[in-house]
Amino acid sequence: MLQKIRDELDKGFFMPLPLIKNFMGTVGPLLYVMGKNPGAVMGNVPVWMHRLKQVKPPWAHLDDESAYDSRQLLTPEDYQDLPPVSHKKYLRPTRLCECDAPEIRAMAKKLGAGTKSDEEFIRSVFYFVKNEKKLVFKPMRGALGTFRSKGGVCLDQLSLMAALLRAGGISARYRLYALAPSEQMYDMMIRDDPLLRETLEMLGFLDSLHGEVEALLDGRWIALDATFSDDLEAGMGLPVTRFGEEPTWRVRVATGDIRFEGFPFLFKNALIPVALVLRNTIDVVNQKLDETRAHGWEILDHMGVEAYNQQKAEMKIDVPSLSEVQAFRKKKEQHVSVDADTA
Amino acid sequence: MESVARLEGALWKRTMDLFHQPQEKWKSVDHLIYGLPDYYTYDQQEVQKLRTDAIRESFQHHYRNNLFYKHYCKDQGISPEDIADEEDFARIPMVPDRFFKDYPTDNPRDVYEWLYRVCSVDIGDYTFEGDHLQDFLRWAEERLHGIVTHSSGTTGHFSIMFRDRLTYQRMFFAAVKTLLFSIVHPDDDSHFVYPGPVRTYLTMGHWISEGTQVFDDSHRHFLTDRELTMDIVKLMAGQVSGIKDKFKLALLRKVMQKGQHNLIKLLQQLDEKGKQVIIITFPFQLYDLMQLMQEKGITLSMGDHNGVIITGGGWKIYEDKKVSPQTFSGMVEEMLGVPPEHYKDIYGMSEMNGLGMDCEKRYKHLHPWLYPMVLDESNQPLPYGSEGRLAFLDPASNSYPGFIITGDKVKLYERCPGCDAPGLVLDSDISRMAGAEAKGCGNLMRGLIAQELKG
Repeated sequence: MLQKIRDELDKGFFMPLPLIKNFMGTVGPLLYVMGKNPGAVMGNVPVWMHRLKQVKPPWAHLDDESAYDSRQLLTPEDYQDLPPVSHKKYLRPTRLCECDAPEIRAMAKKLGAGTKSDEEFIRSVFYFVKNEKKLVFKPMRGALGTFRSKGGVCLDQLSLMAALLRAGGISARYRLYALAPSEQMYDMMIRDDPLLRETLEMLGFLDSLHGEVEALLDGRWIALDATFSDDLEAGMGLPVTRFGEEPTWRVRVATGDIRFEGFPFLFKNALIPVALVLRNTIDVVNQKLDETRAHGWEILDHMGVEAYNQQKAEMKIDVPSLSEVQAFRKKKEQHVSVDADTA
Repeated sequence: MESVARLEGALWKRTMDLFHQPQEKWKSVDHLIYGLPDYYTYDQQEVQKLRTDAIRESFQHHYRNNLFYKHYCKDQGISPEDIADEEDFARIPMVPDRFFKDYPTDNPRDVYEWLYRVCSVDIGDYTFEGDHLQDFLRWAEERLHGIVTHSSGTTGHFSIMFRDRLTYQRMFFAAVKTLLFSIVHPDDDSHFVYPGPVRTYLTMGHWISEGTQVFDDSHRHFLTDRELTMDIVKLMAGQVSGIKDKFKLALLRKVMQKGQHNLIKLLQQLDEKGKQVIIITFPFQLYDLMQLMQEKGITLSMGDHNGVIITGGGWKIYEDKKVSPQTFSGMVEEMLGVPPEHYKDIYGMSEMNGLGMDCEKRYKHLHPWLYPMVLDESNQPLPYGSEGRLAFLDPASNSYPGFIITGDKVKLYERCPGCDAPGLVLDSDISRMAGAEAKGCGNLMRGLIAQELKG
């Protein structure tokens, strides 16, 4: 019993103080903006009523996502000789990261755990989560819930990625950080909604509401963010993020990042009031996400990811290294002095 | 816009001493900055030719001396030979303003190396030994071949710019000449008032502290001499970095609130003595000040002594409190006694070495060396009169390529719809493009004073 308590504490039972502070720092402005925009809050009443009529809680996500259940991708053979469950730190199951679930282990095996190199396996997990699972704003359901549905919020997608990695024997942890949205993300999700727009304006950026998974590869933690699928990025007019690249849909803001092994107790419940007060907003955003993905799918279907990224790369600015610039300046100085001597 | 420029007197002499460049060193852009007697009354054809030459020279300079920019141009298949006249300007590769935030970390050495890599000039050697960016900025001003300033960085990350001596001399000269010598002629006993902190490396704030050195200390007045550090700016932007900084902010906020009352007293005293006063401030700050004056039943007659009010920085997230330029100038006249023709609002940004100043019809007249464009969503130029993203070519920048795509949404006109002054003008209604950093220096200052900050 004592060991169990110790393990729970070690996995991060309590919410870290910086996370509580950031969470409260976001709630204050949101409440203020809600007070300023009673009309936007009242817009939730019909969607709450609609849910109550269906005997669902007012914050519930209603879409039937059974068609996206990834268990359909697994065959009975995939469930045989599953990779073992480890209880070591960063490999063990934690809250919302059910890496011991048979279907997670079966999918890890199918994605190459134990047969591919570590890097190749991590790459396969990254693309599986990125493109098989979609960004859907709904109450958090953890890795298993995400695996069995269309997807989930970014943190749920991280959980699924971490669970698949851990099930395949790769140490994985969470890292939450602050971000500012790109213009494209702002346009799609924030601009038209007064609650989101004014809250963001007050905050300047979002702290600890997004994160990435860090996977241990050859003794080094590498960052993985599979939140936006290829079609969503293309639909937003952004380059498609490849394995190992920084996504362009957000700008990372340098504050104190928060790293942890497992989500704390009550974390997912803490987000329920947000899902409640933003219910109508969330429905609209989810619809926009679907439309954007459909548009992006058309683009990628028409030109392919590589050609699309090539087109986007034309706006990218590469800054040469210090030594290259030093060599460039030195060469210029030599030219100048030769010209002077000649003169 | 009526010309009032009389380039004479002690203040003008001091402007020349501090910021003028010897004529033998002038490039085409300097003929516009230093050579034009008036930025708002000129021969349009002559200026257009000089601007074209200036932009071509500037493009050549950055192409030849800046490796990243050279690569960037080559990737787009553009070289100096492709830019012959104004029609080719849209082909000049432009850098998004967010590029200036791309330094890898806040570590001073990383920032120095990044500046070294993106600048078109040698910025000097790194001998700094500290690990704090604010100390680095102080050190850079003393030891590098120029100044390093930062933007308001309200999304948590600052734009950091290096301006060599040539660039900042041009910027300071143009700003002083525009703000002090284009509205009314300042007498030698005029007083400058800036209701903000003077010790800062925020680009515009630093200009105000440096540029206004044309006034002696008894003739320039600031709200506080406490330093507005990057930490405090960050804190004001919502990034809590510890009790110590919170304490500093609280102190600064207190000083500045008290300062509003002191400022009214100071203005009353100067008004009673019949002194000419030039105020530069943010519109909301002036609005707050005028409301405070209204509550106290105070009115001034600054206009009787040729007083000038200049605002800049916009209203941004305080759009709900924004009043029309006409209403605002009416308030300025009623409360401060400054007639509409002596109240000006200016447009500028951290990456630009020039300004737009409004005429009486409230259109922003840009400095003649700036070549603005309005772009559509694919960054293609739109015709005059269209609304879109502002981009500009600024040949006054020597240390970095001043060919910038901004986050501002504007409407650009080839001729001012409101007055006869030549040159390109922006509509007074300037907003941020969706998703662009929502707040600027102006909002930071409002936050500082109005205690509307979280934390």
